[in-house]
Amino acid sequence: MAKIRVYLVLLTSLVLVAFSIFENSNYPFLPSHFPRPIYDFQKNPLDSQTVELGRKLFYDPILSVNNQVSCATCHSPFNAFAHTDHEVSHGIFDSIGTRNAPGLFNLAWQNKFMWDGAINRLDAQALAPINHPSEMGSNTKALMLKLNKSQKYKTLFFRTFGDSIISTNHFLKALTQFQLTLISANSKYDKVRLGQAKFTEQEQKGYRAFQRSCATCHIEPLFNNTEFRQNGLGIDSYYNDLGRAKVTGVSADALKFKVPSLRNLSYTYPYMHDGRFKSLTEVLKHYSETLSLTATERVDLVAFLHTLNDSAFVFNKNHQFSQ
Amino acid sequence: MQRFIALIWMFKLSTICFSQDSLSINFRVKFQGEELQLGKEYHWNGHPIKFTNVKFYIGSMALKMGDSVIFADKKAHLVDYSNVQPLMIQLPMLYEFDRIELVIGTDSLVNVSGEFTADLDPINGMYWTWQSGFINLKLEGNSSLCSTRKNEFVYHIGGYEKPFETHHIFEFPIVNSPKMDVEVKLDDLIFNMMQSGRFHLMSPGQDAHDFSILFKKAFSVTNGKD
Repeated sequence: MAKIRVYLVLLTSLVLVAFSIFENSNYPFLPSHFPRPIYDFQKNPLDSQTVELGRKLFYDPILSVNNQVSCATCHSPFNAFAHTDHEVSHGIFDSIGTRNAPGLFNLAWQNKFMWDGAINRLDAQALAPINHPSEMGSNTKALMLKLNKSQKYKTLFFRTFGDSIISTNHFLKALTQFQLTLISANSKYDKVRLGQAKFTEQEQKGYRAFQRSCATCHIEPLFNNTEFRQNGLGIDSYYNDLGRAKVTGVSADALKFKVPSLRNLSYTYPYMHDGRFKSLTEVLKHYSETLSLTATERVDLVAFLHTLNDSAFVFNKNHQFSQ
Repeated sequence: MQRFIALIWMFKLSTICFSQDSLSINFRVKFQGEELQLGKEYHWNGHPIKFTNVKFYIGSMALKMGDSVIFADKKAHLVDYSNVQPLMIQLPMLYEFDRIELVIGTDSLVNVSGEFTADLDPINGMYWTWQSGFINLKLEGNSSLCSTRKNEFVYHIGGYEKPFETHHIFEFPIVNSPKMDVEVKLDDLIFNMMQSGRFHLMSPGQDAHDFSILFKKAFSVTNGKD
């Protein structure tokens, strides 16, 4: 009996190891210290050609009705794919939106997109700005017609998907694949986590303050979660943005917004869904009463947050515009 | 006259010989006792009314014997009343069945993870881009009863999350006939619409959920006609 138990344990272990090897060998680009992604890569397995097509589309203003606004207009690679210098983002003909475009990274670990979670899967997300009158001002049908008239894209799509007609599905999958490669996992924090570096004393203190005060919502190593929270921000009477409640219709969800990642904060100012805070100091001041942080702790915390900046990600040429 | 024909082919194998049976299902949208014509001016309570757009999803079909599912076709089909081409659904069958189950609308699985291909392609104008989800029913037109710009009524009914889901199961027994008509009679729906005074409904929620229930009640089955 004991022998049978031993064999069973060995067999189970072998199966688990084989499974993890299978997973790792299929997706070696996934950081080893990250949890299992939410995105089902089997439905859209990455390949370099599709990723490259997606990158071209991401930077091409052909996606907008006036051919002047691309995804990169609001999601700049040098700002961790966020939109800086504006409280809220703007689109075609300088139309002003109501929210600040968030940074794009580690998207494979998210299941809801936009500040209110209105988009339930990454493959569908691009349709929102494309069809929004204040963002790209186009519509899916018109865009597909436009792309199918472009000899450049007809050739690229044919090479990638073997189809002479550019379909909505292939278009979205290509964009998704590029966005899935935007993985930020090489900050100082990550190196410390992998035993390749050490925090300074101040950063260590800041880390402890973070664990005590922030980690409930900003869960390591992604520094966000998949939930929506009300963090004490009053409603802006100009935008009257109720956040998640707008999607669910549930009054208890009023003023709840998606918990953003704390990675790359130095690149993604201003902060919050409407960009109302221009600096981390303002953010921490907002939280100072609820989190009981002393002035020293706030400074230490900022030092720790800086260890989450990933310059390798921000300046990765593979993510930037290519000819 | 625009007609939508759904053909379900059943192949029944016996141990001795091979025989082939077929069942034709025709979707007919009706108003005031006749097959609906887009653009035609009807009169309701003395007021003119026209329909300009009628589209809805049949999210999936299942063939059942009693309570058991014998065969399921999980492919979504868009019934588009402006499409002059007949809608053909072919299902090879190896078993007998006595009931057909349709899902009117698209369920949460389709809305969360369905591929954007074929009838689910957003290019069909049946996908909300601002808040993920398929529009299960589009019903548009105008009537002098509508106190809206251009007297229009616009109903885009969708939503997949409980308690405001807008997809429903419609199940019916097969009859001993090679043809069946699934009729969608809009009369009660229009009556309720005019009574409510609400002529624009374009987002998920309680009202959309209630509307979808009325839409399901519009479905019935009769023996097929040529």
